[in-house]
Amino acid sequence: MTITASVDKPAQPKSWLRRHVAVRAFLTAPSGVASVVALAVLVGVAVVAPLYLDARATETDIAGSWAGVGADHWLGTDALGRDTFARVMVATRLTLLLGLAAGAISIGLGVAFGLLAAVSRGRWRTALLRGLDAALCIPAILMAIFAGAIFGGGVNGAVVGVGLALCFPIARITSTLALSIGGREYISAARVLGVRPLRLMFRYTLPNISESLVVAFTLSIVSGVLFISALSFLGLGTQAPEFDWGGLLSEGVANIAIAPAGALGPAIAIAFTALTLSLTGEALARACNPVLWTSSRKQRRAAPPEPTAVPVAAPAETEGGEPVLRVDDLVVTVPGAVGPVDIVKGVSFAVAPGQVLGIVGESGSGKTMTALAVAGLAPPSGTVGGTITLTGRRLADLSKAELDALLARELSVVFQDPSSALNPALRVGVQMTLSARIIRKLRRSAAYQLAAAKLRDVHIGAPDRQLKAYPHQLSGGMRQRVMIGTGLMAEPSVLIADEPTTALDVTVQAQIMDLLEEINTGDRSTSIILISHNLALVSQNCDRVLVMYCGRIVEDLDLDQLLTDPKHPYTRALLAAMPKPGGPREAPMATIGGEVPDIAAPPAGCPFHPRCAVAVDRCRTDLPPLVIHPEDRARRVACHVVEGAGV
Amino acid sequence: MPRPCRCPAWASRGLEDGHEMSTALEASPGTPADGVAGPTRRLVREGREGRAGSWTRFVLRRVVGLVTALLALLVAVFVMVRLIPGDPVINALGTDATPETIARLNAENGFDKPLYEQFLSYVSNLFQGDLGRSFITNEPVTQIIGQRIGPSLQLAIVALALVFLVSIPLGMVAGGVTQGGRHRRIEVAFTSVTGMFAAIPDYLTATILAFLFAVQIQLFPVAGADGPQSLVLPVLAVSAGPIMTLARLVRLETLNVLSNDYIRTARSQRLPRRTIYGRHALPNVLTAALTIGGLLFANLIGGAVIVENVFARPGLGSTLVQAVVAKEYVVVQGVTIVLGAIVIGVIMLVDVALALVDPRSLTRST
Amino acid sequence: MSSKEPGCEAMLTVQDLTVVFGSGRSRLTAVDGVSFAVPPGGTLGLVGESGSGKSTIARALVGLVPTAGGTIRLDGTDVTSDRARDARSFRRRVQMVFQDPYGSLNPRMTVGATILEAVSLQGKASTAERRSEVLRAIELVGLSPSALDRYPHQFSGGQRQRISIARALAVHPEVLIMDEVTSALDVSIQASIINLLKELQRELHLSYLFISHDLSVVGAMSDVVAVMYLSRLVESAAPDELFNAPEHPYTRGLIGSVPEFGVKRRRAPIPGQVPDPRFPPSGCRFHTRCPVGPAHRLDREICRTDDPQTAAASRPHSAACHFAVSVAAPRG
Repeated sequence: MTITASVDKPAQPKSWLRRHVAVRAFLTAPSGVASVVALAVLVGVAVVAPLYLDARATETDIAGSWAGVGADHWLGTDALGRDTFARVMVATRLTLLLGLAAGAISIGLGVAFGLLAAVSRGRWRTALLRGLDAALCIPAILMAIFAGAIFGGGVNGAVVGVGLALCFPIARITSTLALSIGGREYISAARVLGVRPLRLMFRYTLPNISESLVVAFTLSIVSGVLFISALSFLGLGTQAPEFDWGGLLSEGVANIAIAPAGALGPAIAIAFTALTLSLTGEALARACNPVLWTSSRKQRRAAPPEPTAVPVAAPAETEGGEPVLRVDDLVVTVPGAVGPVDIVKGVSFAVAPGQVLGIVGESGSGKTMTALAVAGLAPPSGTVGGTITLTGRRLADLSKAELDALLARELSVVFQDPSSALNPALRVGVQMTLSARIIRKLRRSAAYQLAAAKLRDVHIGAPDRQLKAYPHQLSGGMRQRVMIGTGLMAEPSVLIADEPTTALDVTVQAQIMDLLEEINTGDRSTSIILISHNLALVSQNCDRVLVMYCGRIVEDLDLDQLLTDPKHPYTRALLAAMPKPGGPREAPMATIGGEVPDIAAPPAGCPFHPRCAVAVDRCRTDLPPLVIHPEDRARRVACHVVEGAGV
Repeated sequence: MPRPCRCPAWASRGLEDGHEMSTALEASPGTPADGVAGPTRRLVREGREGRAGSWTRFVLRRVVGLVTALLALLVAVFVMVRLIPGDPVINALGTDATPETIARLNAENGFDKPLYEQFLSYVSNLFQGDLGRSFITNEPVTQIIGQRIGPSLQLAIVALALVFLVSIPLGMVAGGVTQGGRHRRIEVAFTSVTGMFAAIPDYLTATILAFLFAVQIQLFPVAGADGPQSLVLPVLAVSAGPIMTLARLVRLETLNVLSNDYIRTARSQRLPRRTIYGRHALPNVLTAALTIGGLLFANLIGGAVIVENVFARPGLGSTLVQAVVAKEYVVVQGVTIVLGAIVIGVIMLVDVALALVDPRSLTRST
Repeated sequence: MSSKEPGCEAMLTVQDLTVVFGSGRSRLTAVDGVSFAVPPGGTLGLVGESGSGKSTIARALVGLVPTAGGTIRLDGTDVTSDRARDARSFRRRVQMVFQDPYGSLNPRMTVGATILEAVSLQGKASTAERRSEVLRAIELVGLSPSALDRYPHQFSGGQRQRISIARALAVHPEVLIMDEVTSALDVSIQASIINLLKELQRELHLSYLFISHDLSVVGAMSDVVAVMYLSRLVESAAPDELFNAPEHPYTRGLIGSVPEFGVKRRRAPIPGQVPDPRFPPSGCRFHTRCPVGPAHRLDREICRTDDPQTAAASRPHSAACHFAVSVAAPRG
């Protein structure tokens, strides 16, 4: 049978652990414990207060009216001598119940409406969504007042009215979430299987939006409480002799000058409830994150102790004199799930003037992070170690201003995806000329002329028109040309191209590679670092190639050597695994068994050994150093087995 | 760039960084989920004209949207009023109204005619500027509204301006400081404080402010609408919550924007930080804020309604409540329509402003 | 592996398929009169760049997108109507595997539940039968049964693609449509998936429609390769013929653009970019970029005015070009 892909760990135990993990996540959120405690207090008061304090809350005592705050009456008394504190406590139950009821109505109606809008097609959907938009334009309180009046006024009307008014935001959120899920491929896959719409909704869409909905629901209940209180405050909700916090607040505000405690009491109660419910919502949001439920492969492995630094041979002397860029022992560390992770584990190389250096690797090899670190773009939460020397100057020795100036002048980066690398809100001309105008202090007209000239250099016709355009108006190939043109504005010595053609059509890819070649062989002889996963592409365009695996360079060779005699088993395996058109179709393709290792926890010894065809015992324990090949000083290899590559 | 949502401000409270909700809220409601790949979808929407054509289509679409929304509003309010149980005239005037008065008012307002006729005559009256008359005072509703709309609009507009002026810089600074998980304590503090104040409803803030500054410390007037001092407390009360909510949203959006690739490009050009924030990040953040701003205005109007009752401002808010209490539904109908129409108008204006800031909005269908 | 011989009944035949999006001013013809045939037990590779319509064809064939014209035949039976392709019988016989290994599995369902869903929809009676079908599917793709209790995010990209394939295989299909299934994978993993697919084809006598932008991968998988450009089919031939002696200038240019290891690069054969699909060029759609077209040769005005249509897929090698000539592609 075919290769059995290795599946690392035993399956998770079932549901109870899942729930347990979620509960733990809930409690460890800073708001989690606080909200549980506060909720308990609220519910406790709601249940208990009417049992014990009902008498004090309703007994009138005209003689003792408007008593101030004191030991006898913690919040004083109202116009009829009733104890305010007792009234606030007793009102808890009614307020919460009303708010919950209104919230429940809003959730029920809102979810139904939202799902309906999401599953309907064409004109129906547009109509429903437009109607929803229009409904959202009416201030919710107005709608609540109105609807309350329709449904009979008073408390019942208020509850239904608030529920109705609040259902529209819920509907909107539900429909937006459901529609965003609708575009996912697993929904398409389920439809292709023949899953019926109802099941699609409940088994596929809803579970994937559940945590967002839960947060929305919590907020809906908060709003329910607040809106009911608002209506009561306006005299439209609870009517005497019933009282909730809103009603109490209304009385209190009317007499705020005489007995401010009468207003502050209910005010604090409302605020406390709102805060509690909001906090609960936030804690729920954290707990509902499904990545916490079953730990992923990455999180579970404890990071093995880092091997002591293995000597990395410096690259051979470059032709053409001083290298324009020299990197020694570059280490890039970023915070990971279980601790800091070395994405780049000690990389050294040099780029000669006018040279095209290719860096080849698969995902997780560290090739992109190497380039980013050289360009000073490593993530701020990470650390960069080692020495980088650009045009003879050590970057670490420079002040920030000098560093910025040097990098702006001598180094440019072209990124992979031109559609996201350009700011959609700014015109092309603005983006191209910002650096020239601000850093090099060019006048606006001079900067634009320069930009137009660069656009011509990258073969974009009618450059003045393109400068005024927005990025979304250009095709992918043109956007990449604009990126390259922008990179050339400062006439750099080194251009780093990180997968510059991966997002483009293959015919456009060839054009862009032509362009890079022109830049390299042109007047300025710009050196290029070409990063790619495509060995064939690299083999056609580069003078020298670095092969990276799991954060390290495993082979450093020039083009001839790559074409005729690659030595490292990984390089050879990569070559063998490339699909060749026109080759024999019957035979299975050569593959590299196993999986690309997790950079946070690579195998001990040589990281490639589990997948290597020629691994020996030593490979399992000792990390092979990158050394200069004794028979060929222009080549470096990191492998125990390769002939003559050290002991 | 993720498209910002159209949900009311309160709906975004309680969101944490990168929570799926904030990204989910960004999907455009017009997204066809049926198998149409991205670039094709955009092309289908854009149609065949160039940019000038895009603007025409955009304006046309917005005007159609405006008219539709207004129509929906009219129908909804009209129907809702007719749904209120009881005879509208008796409700307002009470049981001791004379039969002649009842008959006269019924005939004047056409309550005895079939519904669709009532609606048609209502709409035609609307175009002539006639919103009916109060049953009790016989004042034309348009006059009532005209006299009292000034203070309410003042309040809402000043509050809106304050909300934008405070929360956008606040949120952007908070976003800039806490990006990449740095300064966790500031993040927690920011989230807690904004969460706290966002949870407190406007009438509550109004109450507390009234107590503090008008009763205890007699700094500002507690009632009335004369002069700018009378605006201070109501504006603060109405805008406190939304400022916090918008600031949170702006911070999340700033974090989102800063994680985009084009910011990395700007950094690779070694642009100074102020340029990255000011020229690159701000327009994109502004898009999100503006979108919310339209709906925020709806909330602010709603808030104004309540707060006016606390501070006894003679605006539409108190008019509305008095009318509801007195069951004067013709007045309620008129006020709701006017306020709703103002909100719709503001939202449309915001859409136009959005299109100026973010050119891709031109081709979106909503 | 049986290749398509003349006279052999094709498994899946598509004739003049047309798919249109939008209407009026925003009308976009994504697929315009495309015809091809998938050989029984063999693979038809569909290759094209952006805007070619190849993914739309896949989606139309499984009913995710409505068709606007043409006929679709499954083993002789006409299944053109949307209802026919929504029927359970069709769904059992034709299944699809998608591109994105991270997005094509429901994150909230275990692997076992996902595959079980497929099985249940085909109405197997007893729980034991269903369980055995699920086990069969997971083992066919080389994963151990312990995977069934896990969630998709616990697997790597290559493993997730295997799970997607297992899901498709669970219903015992006859035709598999694969839409860029290797494009999101590393090269080393890509090869193992291709091997898996080939082996499954041999064992289960499956017919494949293999869609990709990657010419090399398509060449390694297919018995027949069909090249698409701007919603039209421009050439179809067996891979050897196609790569060694392409007839259509676009195919030649496409082959010439693909980097080949060890072969020196030549200048990009095809200039410019794909035109806006909403405004396709008149006559031959490729004429605006054709290196031997009216822009370069005065005697080729016909390319601007007349639309060369490819002959029916039954011809062994057909190219939609007025001047189709078998010339070896400039490689590099």
